[in-house]
Amino acid sequence: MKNRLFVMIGFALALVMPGMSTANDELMKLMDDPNNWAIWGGNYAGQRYSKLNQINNKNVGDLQVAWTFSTGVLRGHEGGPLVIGDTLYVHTPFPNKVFAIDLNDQTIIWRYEPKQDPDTIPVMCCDTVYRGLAYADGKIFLQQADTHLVALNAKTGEMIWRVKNGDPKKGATNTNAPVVVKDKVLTGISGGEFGVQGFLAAYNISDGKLAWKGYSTGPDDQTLIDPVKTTHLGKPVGKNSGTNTWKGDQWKIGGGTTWGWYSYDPQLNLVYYGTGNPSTWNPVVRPGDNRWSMTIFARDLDTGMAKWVYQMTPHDEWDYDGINEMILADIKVKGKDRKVLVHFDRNGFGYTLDRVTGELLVAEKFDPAVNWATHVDMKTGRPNVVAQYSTHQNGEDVNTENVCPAALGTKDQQPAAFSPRTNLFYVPTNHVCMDYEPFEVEYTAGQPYVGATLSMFPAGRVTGDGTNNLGNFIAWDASAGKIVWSLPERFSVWSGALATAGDVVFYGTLEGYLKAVDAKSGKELYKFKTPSGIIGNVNTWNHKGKQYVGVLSGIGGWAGIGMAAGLTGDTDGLGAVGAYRALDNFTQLGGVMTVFALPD
Amino acid sequence: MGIRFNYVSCQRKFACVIFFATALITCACAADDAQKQQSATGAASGPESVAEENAAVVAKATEVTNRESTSEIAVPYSVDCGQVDDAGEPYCYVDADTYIGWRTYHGFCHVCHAQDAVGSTFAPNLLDRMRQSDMTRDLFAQRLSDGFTGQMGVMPPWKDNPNVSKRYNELYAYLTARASGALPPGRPKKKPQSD
Repeated sequence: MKNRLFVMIGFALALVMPGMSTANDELMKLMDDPNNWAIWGGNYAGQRYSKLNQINNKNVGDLQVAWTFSTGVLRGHEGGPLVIGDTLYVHTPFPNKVFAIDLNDQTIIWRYEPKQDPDTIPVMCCDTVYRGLAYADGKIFLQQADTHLVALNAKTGEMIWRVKNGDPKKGATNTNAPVVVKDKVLTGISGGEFGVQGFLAAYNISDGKLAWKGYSTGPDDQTLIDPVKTTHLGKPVGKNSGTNTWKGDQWKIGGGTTWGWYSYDPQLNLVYYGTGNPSTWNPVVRPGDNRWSMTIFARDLDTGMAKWVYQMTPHDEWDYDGINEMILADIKVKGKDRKVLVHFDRNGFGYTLDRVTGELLVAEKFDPAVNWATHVDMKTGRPNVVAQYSTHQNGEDVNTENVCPAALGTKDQQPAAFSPRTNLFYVPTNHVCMDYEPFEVEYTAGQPYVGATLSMFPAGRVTGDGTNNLGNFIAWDASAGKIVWSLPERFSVWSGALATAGDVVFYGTLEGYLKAVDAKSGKELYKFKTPSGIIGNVNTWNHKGKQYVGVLSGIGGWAGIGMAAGLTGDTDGLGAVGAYRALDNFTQLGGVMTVFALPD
Repeated sequence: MGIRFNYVSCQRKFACVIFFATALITCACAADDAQKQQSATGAASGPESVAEENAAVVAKATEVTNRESTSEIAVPYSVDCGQVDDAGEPYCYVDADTYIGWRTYHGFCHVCHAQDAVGSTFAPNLLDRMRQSDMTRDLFAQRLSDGFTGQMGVMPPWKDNPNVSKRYNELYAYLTARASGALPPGRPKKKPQSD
């Protein structure tokens, strides 16, 4: 109800405010109709919640496979399909194919396969993943790996326009799903491991012309930060905040890339997203807070100007990218109704902020194993770093041991879900720790710029609690900052979650199971083993009166490496070594979409 | 002791590399021969589990010692396992080259070939690859320099990245140490200079 009201207010505003495109109105209507799945997060708030309840916690055990579709691509399949009316649009990792499928008979209406330079592949850190499409104004927006942003005719698949968003020769690539708001399509950039200067860019949906581009680091005219009006925890950030916490010109290769998910509040007209790690991984050679890497940004959609910023991990020493999704919800915090933004960071803290002002309300660990910081100081917003786990304080050529979480974070990009019925957040997590050793590297454009070694293993080796699971699926109370329940998983949970009005929560596992659990208790109600490991997002839609749930399988991505964590490290004292045998004993490569429904 | 002798002799040979181009060929041949011999004595296919691999390491360590006591084949690495740290965790000492190779590998190569070179879903297990007889030191350096297009993926050319292009010998030392079974998974320690 709250959700509907929120969208309707936004819709009403859209009608009265001048200069708004009808594309936005159309998209808002599509998102408000649960028969569709019109955007990565189900709605602009990124809640991944559906009002559909035909499949519910009483009958989900009867779920069956309705149909399947092979993408013909082997690499890691992240993201999920879009459904607009009778048509489903699904994407693949490199070469970034797009298929439009007729839901009436599952035939392929059109397909699009871009010709891309294969030299793009080697500059993509951690597999050639791609997280999905955007729809608006009769167009499908495809963000290719080689940085071309393409608008396709949604009916025919014909290219309408194409624009280049970065230079792969300098290590810039794309993996993110674009998002359309009003008359603009938003996209980011990857390549933090290559010294790319991160940005969020807005292109006009009509012709692909650049409307604005806000960098994560750099002088104010590049970051689109106002020294007086832009605030950090309520205080003006001051002049050139994007350069003055960097040594010399280091901000130019400063990272802060933007390869995650973008959310939008129509009422506030603000876009929310996070920025990634500063380059290099070696913290010793880049003194200072390295602003605004590892930061939550709130930008005005029309101008790109930053309203507020919050840096979660100043001077990153562990590769805790801040790019994970921003979930917007209206919940009570300490007895007061708040418009919040909830974010589960790689660094292991679950943050609840006031999304209007950027005020920090809650910051608590969403995995008890997290040890690199004791807590977040609620006044300064800074984490209280534990000296023992500070890779900078320990210095170059010193191995900092048993840091939790590992570089892949307590959670990576796999988006969480929020149910307004339970007011809980459902979060796929990693339970992995690491040893980390910075060392000196030279920068060359287009070459990886890392400068740290990394070895990962199950968190149980550090906590000493005898566990050996590499992941958990948790329910989180963002008001109190507390875990409500936690389901251990053998491997990292690398799939995007879905919550529904049927009080069922869905997620996928690296072995390939699609699982359904009760939204209140976490009790497992259904599981089915799909053809490959799941790192995609579970989406739902309704077609001709029937609710469907669909997910991409296709193991790969960083999970393709991360899963091996603990398999090969020193396993003495752990006991069940067999638990860590390679994931390839459980699943093999291959992109397949599996669609589920209840029997007739 | 045999191991240390080899380490010293190998270091001497590496020193000659710097000054005499022709010596490189000699060195490479010696190392390749060592590789071939090791391949011939077992470990032709990848270990099936950690337990088996650990067992293989023990067997291999014995084997290496035995062989080295009777012949003087130069290997590009020196590994001395069986130490135990204060926390009771076992570890291995390695020579400087192997250590730098380990570090370079885990700074650059591991994002595709995974921790300890065991491979990922999109890049091959390098331990298996190093055990194949065609993988000479020359081919190794060439593949790193020029890059390679495989069945599944593409490896970039590393010749323009000074952090890697200066470290082919060290990477070769580390990966052959891993592939031969002499060096178990995990982080090795650099042998103290005074030793």
